[in-house]
Amino acid sequence: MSTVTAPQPAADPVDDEDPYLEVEDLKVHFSTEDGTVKAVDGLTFSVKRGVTLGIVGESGSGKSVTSLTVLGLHSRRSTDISGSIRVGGTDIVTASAEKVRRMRGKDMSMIFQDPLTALHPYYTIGRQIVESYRVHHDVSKKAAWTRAVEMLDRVGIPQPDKRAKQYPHEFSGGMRQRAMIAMSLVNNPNLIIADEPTTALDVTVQAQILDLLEDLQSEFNSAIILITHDLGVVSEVADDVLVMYGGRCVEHGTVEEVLRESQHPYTLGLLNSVPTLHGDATHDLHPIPGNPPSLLNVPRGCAFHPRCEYAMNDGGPCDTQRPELLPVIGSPTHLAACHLSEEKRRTIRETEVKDGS
Amino acid sequence: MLRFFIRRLLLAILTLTMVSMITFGLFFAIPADPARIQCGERCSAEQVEAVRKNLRLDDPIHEQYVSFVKGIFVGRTYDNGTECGAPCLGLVNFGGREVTEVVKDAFPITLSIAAGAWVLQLILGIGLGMTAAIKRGKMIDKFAVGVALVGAATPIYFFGAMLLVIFRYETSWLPQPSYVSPLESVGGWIVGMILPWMTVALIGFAFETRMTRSQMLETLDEDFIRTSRAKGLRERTVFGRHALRASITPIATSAGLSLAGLLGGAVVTETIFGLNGLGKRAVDAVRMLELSMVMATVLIAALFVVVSTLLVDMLYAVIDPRVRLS
Repeated sequence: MSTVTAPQPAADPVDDEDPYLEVEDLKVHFSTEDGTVKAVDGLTFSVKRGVTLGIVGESGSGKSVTSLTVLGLHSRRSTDISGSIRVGGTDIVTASAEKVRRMRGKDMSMIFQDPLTALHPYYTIGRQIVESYRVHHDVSKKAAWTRAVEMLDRVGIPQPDKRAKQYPHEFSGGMRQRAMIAMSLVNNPNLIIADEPTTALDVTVQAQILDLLEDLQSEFNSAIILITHDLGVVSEVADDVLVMYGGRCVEHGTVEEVLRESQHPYTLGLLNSVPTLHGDATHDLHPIPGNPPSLLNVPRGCAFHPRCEYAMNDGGPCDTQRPELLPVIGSPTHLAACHLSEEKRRTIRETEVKDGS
Repeated sequence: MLRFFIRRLLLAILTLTMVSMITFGLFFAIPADPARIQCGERCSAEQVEAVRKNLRLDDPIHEQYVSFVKGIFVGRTYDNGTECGAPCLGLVNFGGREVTEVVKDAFPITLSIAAGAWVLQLILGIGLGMTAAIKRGKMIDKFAVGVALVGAATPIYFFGAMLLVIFRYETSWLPQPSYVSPLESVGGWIVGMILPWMTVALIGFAFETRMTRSQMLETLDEDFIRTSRAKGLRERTVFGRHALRASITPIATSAGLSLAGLLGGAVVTETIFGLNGLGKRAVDAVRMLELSMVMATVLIAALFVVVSTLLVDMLYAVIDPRVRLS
């Protein structure tokens, strides 16, 4: 796992428009035989074009469900959604399935985690990209094929015309992911959701893919949501960060704010659990004790309190009252949901971070 | 690819040889006297002897086998002068007709039944299986699975006979099933074949339905289906072009084998409807201990199975590009 490097200066977000994606108090509940799974429980955030939002969280934090819901890929029958998701002005939650379908792949698209299973094994890469294009544009197969080859070239695949006629299993892992990116971007979507795009790749290829995404973003000015559990990735590419836990947002702010001046014990815990190249090699690693909560039975009060070192239970509010997401004094864009006072948080941060660097 | 094909071809030849040897051997293990049966009940002892000499039934078995196999390739002349042109599969009892002639008459009937029933079976099976998978858990799914189960459990001889009673004898909606060559009258061909087609297909589609349904359900869980929806494809494209295509391999295998089986002769069906296809001929031949006819029908059935497995295996490479490299 890579170390957390100093965040790069955020790319200048294009401010001439309102946020392209606006999520407000999103709740996604699944009713199952065992009860209600509260996969997402009151999420609010927005992303402007040209900006990258990193959503960070462990497995089971609700981050993938969020992205699938934004794309309208949830199952309408068994899912209970409330709140609003506005993409380019259209509310996905209330819009018709047909309307959302027409937006998928065109206004918003997704890059999946494992390109080997995410691409159809029986069709050539070129054919799959052509299909993506022709769903939303009425052009001839030939014109679409030219565009597909163009996109493959743009994402850095050598000999794109030859490669387009090959099958996914004939590509290496990094090239496959590039091809997947080409497929997602062929229609110039304004919103791109990348769900752990580099998890299945090795570190060197990872860096190339992230560079590619940054490049493409500055060229097409798209809003990007990057979902990951890797803080190194976040520190490299994200402008804003949203930390999720138990289906809720626990911290939200610019990447500098969240990673340098973390306001939540969970975020601090994540930062501390990253192995560093400095310090004593004989020291144990510092994972966060315990396991993420089951979304069927989210703990009462603050979802993190069972694992939090500083929880104020038995009389304190942590096990009874759910903390609100409130701005930090002095940084209105930095929000945290924690009952601890700001001074307490600062003390914790100073002692913890000094320890692990 | 070529090496694969040659290997499979050699294997096919080996299989056919084994099948013919085993059949030949089994025939001679039967205690009855083939010469007497060949000649008939009215034959005197001398006539039976003459037949025995003519057919060389006293020769050692392996010599008889070799003559038989040679006959297939170059034709055969019997001791009493009867000639049998290549491919000679022997002579039939009583009339001495060449088996090849009988096969030539019987095969179009079997082919008609097989082809029509197979197509019907596939359409019903795959269609219903796909629908069941798409509408999983709903009434149509339960209905499809139920009907498939009933179909699999119903004996053909009962079902065929029932259809005959209903459509022919009680209501006279359809004429007696008989074979009319499609070259003479397509309409007559279809009308004559409807009952056999329905009999075979309505029993046989059960397997295809269950197989299609389970394959589709598995495929629909795959990541690339989620991707195709994320691209904005219509549901029917997702199901038809992406899901079905990925599920098709095992369906193709069973379809291929099913056709091979049908071409070998739908024995029960042909018997019920009195159609002289290969199946009926085969059953009659076993009953009457006609060695040549038995050999011929068994070999032809085996040939179809071997060829169809070969074709299906090669079809895999067309369907699934990942197979081509190995």
